[in-house]
Amino acid sequence: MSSWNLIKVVAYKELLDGFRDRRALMSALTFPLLGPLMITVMLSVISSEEEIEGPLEVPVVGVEYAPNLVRFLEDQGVVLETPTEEMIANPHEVVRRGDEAVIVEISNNYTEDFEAGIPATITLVADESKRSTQVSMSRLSAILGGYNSRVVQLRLLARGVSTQVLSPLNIHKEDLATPQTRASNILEMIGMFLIMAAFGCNMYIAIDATAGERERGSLEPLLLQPIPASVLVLGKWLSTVVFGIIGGMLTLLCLSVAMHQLPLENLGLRLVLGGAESAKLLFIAVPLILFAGAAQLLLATIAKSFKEAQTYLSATMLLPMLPGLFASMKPMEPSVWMSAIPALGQQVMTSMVLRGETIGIEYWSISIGVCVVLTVLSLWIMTRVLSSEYLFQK
Amino acid sequence: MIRVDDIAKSFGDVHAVQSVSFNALDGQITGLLGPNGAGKSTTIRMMYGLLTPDKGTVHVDGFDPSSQPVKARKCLGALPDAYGLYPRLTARENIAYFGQLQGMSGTHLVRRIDELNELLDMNEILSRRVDGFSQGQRMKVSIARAIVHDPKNVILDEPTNGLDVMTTRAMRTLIRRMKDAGCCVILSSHIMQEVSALCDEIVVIARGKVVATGNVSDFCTRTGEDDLEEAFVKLVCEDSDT
Repeated sequence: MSSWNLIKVVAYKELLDGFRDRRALMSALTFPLLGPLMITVMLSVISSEEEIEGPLEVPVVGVEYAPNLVRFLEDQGVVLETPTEEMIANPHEVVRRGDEAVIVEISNNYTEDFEAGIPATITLVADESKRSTQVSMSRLSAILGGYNSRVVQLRLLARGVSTQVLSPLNIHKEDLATPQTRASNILEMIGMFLIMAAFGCNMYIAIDATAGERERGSLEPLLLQPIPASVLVLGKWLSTVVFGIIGGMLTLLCLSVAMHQLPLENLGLRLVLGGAESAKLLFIAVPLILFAGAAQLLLATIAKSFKEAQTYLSATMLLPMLPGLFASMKPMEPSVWMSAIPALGQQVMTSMVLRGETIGIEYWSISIGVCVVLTVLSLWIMTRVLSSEYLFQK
Repeated sequence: MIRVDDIAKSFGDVHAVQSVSFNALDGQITGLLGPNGAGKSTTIRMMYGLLTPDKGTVHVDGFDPSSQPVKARKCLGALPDAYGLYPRLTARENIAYFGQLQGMSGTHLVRRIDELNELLDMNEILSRRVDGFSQGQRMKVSIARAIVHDPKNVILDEPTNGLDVMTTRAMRTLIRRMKDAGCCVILSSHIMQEVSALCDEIVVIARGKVVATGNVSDFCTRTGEDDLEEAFVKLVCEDSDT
């Protein structure tokens, strides 16, 4: 039988074994489902809070003291609710209970103070530990601030002072964020989940094919078969690659389903994860999957037991997550050197695809090249370990 | 035929095997007898080619397992002391996997598994997953897996360890059949009765050296004991005095 046929025999056996192993299947399915689930939950929480962007509705106590202010608020689109007895008597309790986000209280000497030119008091009762309240509060503050400066201008004009004196700076904000760049935190997370899938989906089968084989006592009989160690290594590696690619494809499928379900437009986000993008992302992930399988097999071969292998590999799972975590907190400026670091490179390239940017050929060649070299190196070392006495020394 | 010529192996300061030589001939059962820790397993692993001797050579039908492992293993069937099976595969799948690795396929492999099935009486277990098999059932599958390619040389490391009487007897019958078929069978054990019942030639190993070679009556004459057990104890202790 040719070497290739023998490699297929080994890979087929590992896959058969893997697909019959509930634990291997669970770990292969966890990562593809976990990522999309987390993103869905996060985005739906954010979008439910953003929905407050409707008309601002607030109960106002003491409307009768400030008719001009009330008119101004109504002009600005604020819907003034008539307060209940309890709101007038005990606004703190109502807010604390969460019945109302904000209650505006106009003090009963507002009119006298205003006319006398003394700062007239308006109290905003709110619990700002709630994110939704923060949004209402900042809108309300902005509107009240607008009224404040208008009154200032009128008073100065009455005294013959030019209002321009009050505005030494003219601040213009130009927001260049497009809906796609605004989604960048979420973009970085998609990359992170894809990388986690590359390392996570084949982890269990990698351990089972090496440390597991030793623990069951089936490694010694296997090594007594008349085949070179390289055939065993390549066959086992191939099975981890199959698991990794299935995992990566499932992750992308679940992500694109999740993206279609979510009301992203409401958030001002635009994420394109269609067939073409998914194919590109998978193509980015494949070299990493090749490397992840090889590295995990090598580590699990050297480990003394199944448990030890599990400990090593769970620890190494955290490493590829680091760039993703950093990037989702503080988006990085992509640069070519990053593509030379496995996981980081794929992270950067994933974000580029999702941002709709073109990936330069240097990113492709370096990231694929590094992964291929490291894969070959890991498999070579593993072959050396299996054909040496290392595993059988007392 | 397996030739072992003055092999030695150390692990750090531990001299596991210091000097072991013997010839195991075709059509003969050769027993490796020795107390626990005598160096039997290390000797056997050098015969497999899993360990390379520090000095000396091993030849399996003329091939050195250290330098020509693939060729040596083609003509070698081995039941190591760790004979783990794949619990999620059926007995047939376990045997077929090793058969394929030996280069067998198609009807040739199917026919051979049927043959082994008859030889070892595995009808009930052949299509079941190995998980949950008894010790005896496991041993049957392991031995079938080891000799699926019908090797000329067979090394069995404590093959009856932990087996009940019925399975032990079946195992012994199988070993005798292999001998009758002209195979070179090497059997390691620390149980004297078993070795004396089966073996044509016995190699007694103690503390990494061969202390005696011959058959049961040779040992008894040499030590002046009637009982093999007494003779064995004497042989093993004799050496430690010198």
